[in-house]
Amino acid sequence: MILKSLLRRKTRTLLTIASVAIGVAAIVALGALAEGLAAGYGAPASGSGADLLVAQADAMDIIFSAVDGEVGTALANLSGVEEVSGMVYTMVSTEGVPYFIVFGYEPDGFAIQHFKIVAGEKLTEWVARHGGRPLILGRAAADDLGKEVGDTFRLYESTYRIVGIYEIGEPIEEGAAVVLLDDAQALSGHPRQVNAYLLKLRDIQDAERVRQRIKGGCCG
Amino acid sequence: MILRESLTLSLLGGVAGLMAGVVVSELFNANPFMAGFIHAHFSPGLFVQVVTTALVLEAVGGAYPACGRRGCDQ
Repeated sequence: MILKSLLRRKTRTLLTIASVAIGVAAIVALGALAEGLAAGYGAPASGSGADLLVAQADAMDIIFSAVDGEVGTALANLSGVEEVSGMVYTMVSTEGVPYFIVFGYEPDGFAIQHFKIVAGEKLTEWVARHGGRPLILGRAAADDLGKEVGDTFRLYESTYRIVGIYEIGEPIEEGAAVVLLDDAQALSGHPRQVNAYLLKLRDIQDAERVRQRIKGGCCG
Repeated sequence: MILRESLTLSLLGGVAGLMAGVVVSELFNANPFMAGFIHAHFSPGLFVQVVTTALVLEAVGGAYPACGRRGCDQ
């Protein structure tokens, strides 16, 4: 009965369905992008195995945060802190992609270990044997850009060698690249700063006490 | 009758919109120009929220002409 009535006025029915569909499609697409953005920005910190993340207090987002290198030394000397790993999170332009995310980690730090190498080798292994400018590329970025292990990759005017491909399960990190901390600092234009320090604690129960000490200004 | 027509239209439009929204988002994800920057992510909650919103809005939209014909104030 209802369908018969709707089919009797086809144009009106189609126009009404189209108007609802356009509104719903816009909400779905914007909602999905908002959820993706929120999930992606938390991923670098949550997936690294860090117990605490130290970033600039008034930074709008971690990508705009700048923490001096001396802070890292002070954090490492804090009681209850087992390990500190600096992280650079920057955006550069590369071959055909104007906004490409690049992470920088200390090659022997704990935070870089969560990038699971599925082809090639780890940055640490390559650096120990060859030095130079190695880079590991996320699986999604490698597929999108048609790159594989052994290829070169330009970031601004510098050429890097792809020594490994990683998978991690987080879209933003898999669509990015990881380089050595020093290289990432040079790319970001802040040679003695990182975006954040990732802290591993000896005892997770200490997290609140350590957090209060850092907020109290213990480390510069 | 009018209200049921309105809800049927919103359901059909909602399903078509959901599919169109997913296609648009997947096209966005497939674009290497932006894929590394933002990646669309779907959750069941988003779909429920969108369909509920479409149904409620169309129910409200259909209630007025339905009332006009049957005389809700009487």
